[in-house]
Amino acid sequence: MIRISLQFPWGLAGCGPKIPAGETELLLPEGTSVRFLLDSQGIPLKSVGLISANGSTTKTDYILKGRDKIQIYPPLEGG
Amino acid sequence: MANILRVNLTSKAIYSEAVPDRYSFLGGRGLTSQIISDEVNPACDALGESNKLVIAPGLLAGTPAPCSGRLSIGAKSPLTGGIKESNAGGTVARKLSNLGIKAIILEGKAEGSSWHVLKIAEASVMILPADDVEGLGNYESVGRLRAAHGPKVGILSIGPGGERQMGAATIAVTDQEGRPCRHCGRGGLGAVMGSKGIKAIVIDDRRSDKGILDIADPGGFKDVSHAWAKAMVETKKGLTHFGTAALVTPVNAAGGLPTRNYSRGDFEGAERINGSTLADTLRARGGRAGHACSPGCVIRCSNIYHDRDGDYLTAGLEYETIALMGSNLGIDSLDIIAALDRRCDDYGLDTMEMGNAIGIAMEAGIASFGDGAAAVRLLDEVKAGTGIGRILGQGAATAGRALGISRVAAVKGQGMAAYDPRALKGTGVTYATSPMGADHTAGNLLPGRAGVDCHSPDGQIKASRDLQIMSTVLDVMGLCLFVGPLAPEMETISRLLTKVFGKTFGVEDVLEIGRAVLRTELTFNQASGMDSSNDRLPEFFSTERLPPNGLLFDVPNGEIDQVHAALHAPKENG
Repeated sequence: MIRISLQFPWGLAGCGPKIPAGETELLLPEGTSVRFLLDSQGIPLKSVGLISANGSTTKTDYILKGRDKIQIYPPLEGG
Repeated sequence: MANILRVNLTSKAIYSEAVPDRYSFLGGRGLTSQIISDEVNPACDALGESNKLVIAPGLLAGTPAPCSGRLSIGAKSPLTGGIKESNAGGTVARKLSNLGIKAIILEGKAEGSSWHVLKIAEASVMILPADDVEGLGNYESVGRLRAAHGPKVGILSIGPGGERQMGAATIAVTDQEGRPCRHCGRGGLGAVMGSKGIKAIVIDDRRSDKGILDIADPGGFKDVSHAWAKAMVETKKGLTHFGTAALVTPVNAAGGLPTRNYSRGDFEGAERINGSTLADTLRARGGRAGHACSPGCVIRCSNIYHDRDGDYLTAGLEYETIALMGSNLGIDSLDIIAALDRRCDDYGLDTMEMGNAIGIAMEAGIASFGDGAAAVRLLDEVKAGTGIGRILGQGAATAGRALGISRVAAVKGQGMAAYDPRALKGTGVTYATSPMGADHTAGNLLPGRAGVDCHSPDGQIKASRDLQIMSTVLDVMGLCLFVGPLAPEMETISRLLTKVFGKTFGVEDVLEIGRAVLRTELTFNQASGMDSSNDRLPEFFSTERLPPNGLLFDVPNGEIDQVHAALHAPKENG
C-alpha cells in the first residue's frame, strides 16, 4: 500500500461531487493510476481541468508513488 | 434617452449627440471598435490629431446584471498600429450609465503643451485647466481632483507615462475606494489620451440615474440576473478567496509560468508568490481579499495589499503582475512585486508591458534577474524619462530592438501575458491572431477550459476561435471576463437579451455580436497595413525548447491563418 496526499486547492464544483478546497491523505494499493483515483472518488474527468503530481502537470495514466502530492484543479479560471 | 458626448480638443467644442440606430445595441468594445472603424483613418498617426479616443461602458452597464461594470476604451494603438480596445473595472462605467452617456469621443488635439481636465456632470461638461495636477502621478492627481470635485466622483487619469506618450502608458480608472488602481492597461491608450492634452476626466453622476439601455421586461431581467449572481457566488469562491494569484501554482505546474524572460516555464520561487502566500500575507497585515473592484461585482477577486508595517501599499495585485514582475524577472518577493505594482499604478504604466520590458533589460545585463531594487529603479527611470527609461517605457518590442535582445515575447508590438505559448498553445494561437495583439483576455485557453490538451497543437484553432468570439461578446456587454467566456454564459446572455428586447434573442444571435465586432476589427487592421505576417509568434517560440517539459509552439502557420477564415454569419453558409 502507498500513502498519498490528495489536494483540491480550488475545490471542485463542476458536474461531479462538490468538494471544498482542502487536503486529505489516502492509503491506496500500489500501482494505482490517477484515473483509478478519480474514479474511486467519483470525480468525472469533465470536472477536472489540471492534475499535478508533485508540482508538475500529469496525465490520468500516471501511476501513483508513495508520498506523492496530487493536486486536482477544476477548469482554470481567471487571467 | 442615452446620448454620445463628443469633445473636440482642437476647437474646444462639446456636442451631445443622439445615438445612431446602428449603435443602439452596441456597447463596450463593440461600440469603441465600431466608432473607431467609422471615424478613424486606419493609416493615421496614432498620436496625431486624427486619432480618436472612445470611452464606452458596456451594453449592460448600470443594469442588475452581475459583474457588468466594465469600461472599454478604444483607439488606434500607438503600440500595435492596429485597432485597440482595453477594458477595466472600477466605478466609471456605472457613472457614465447614470449620466445617460453611451460613449465619449475625444477628437482633435489641445494646442501646444497645455493640459486639461474634462469635467462631466449632469448639468454641464467643461474643459478645465489642469495646472494643479500636471506632471503628477495618478495617486496625487486623483487625490487632488477628489478634493476639488468631491469624493464620490469617478476619475480616468494618466500618469507621467501618458504625459510622455509612452507605448506602455495606461488610463487609470478609480476603484470603489477612489484609488487609481484599475487600468485600461494594454496598447498605450494612455499615450493617446496624453497626445490630446487630457490629463484626467472627472465624472460626477450625483443626482443622475438615467441609464443607457431600455429593457422591455425589467422584472424578468432582474430575475435572470439574480439567479446568475447567486450561482456565481458559489462557483467562483476560489477567485474570491485567493484572487487571480491562485493561477500561479497550476500554471507553474503546467510549465507555462514565464520565468526570467520566458527562458523557463517553471519558477523555483513560485510558492513564495502564489495565491496561498498572498492570502496569508493579506490576512497577517490587515489587508483584504474578496475585494470588489466595481459596483455589482459578486466575484470580488481583487485585493488590498498592505506593507510590513500594516499600511496600505497597493490594490488589485493580480496574476499577470505577480508573474510578469515576479517570476519573469526572477523576483520571489510579493513585497517587491507590490512595490512595482504601486509604481505602475502611479506612473500610469502597464504592469504586463513593463514586466516584459524589464525582463528584456535584465537579459541585456542592464540589471540582474532577481534584483528587485534594480527593477524598482528602472521603473523610476521610466517615470523620470531618462534614456533607458524612455526606451523601456515604449514597451517590450522597442526595448528588445534598442538593447539587442531577440527573445522578445510580443505580437503586433504588444508584450505577451503570463502564459508561455509553448505550454499553453491555445493561448498562443490567440496571441497570434487576436486583432488586439498578444492579448490573453481576447481568448485565454487555460487548462480545462475547452476540453483540449494545452500542451498539444491539436484542437487549438477551433478552441481559440470560439473563445475569441465569446470573449468579445463579454467585452461588448461590459461583463467581467471572469463570469466565464463559455457556452453556458452565452446561454445566460441570450436569456438576458431576450428580456432586453422583449423577443427571443438566441445564442447564435449572441455569438454573431462577437463575430461582427471581430470582422470590424480585422478589417481595420488590414486597412492599417497588417497582413498574415503579423499573425505570427516570435521565432524563438518555435525553435527554443521550454524547460522543464521541452515544449515548442508547434501549431502550423497554415492552420493559424484559418482562425478567422470562418468569421461569417451562419446564414451565409446557406
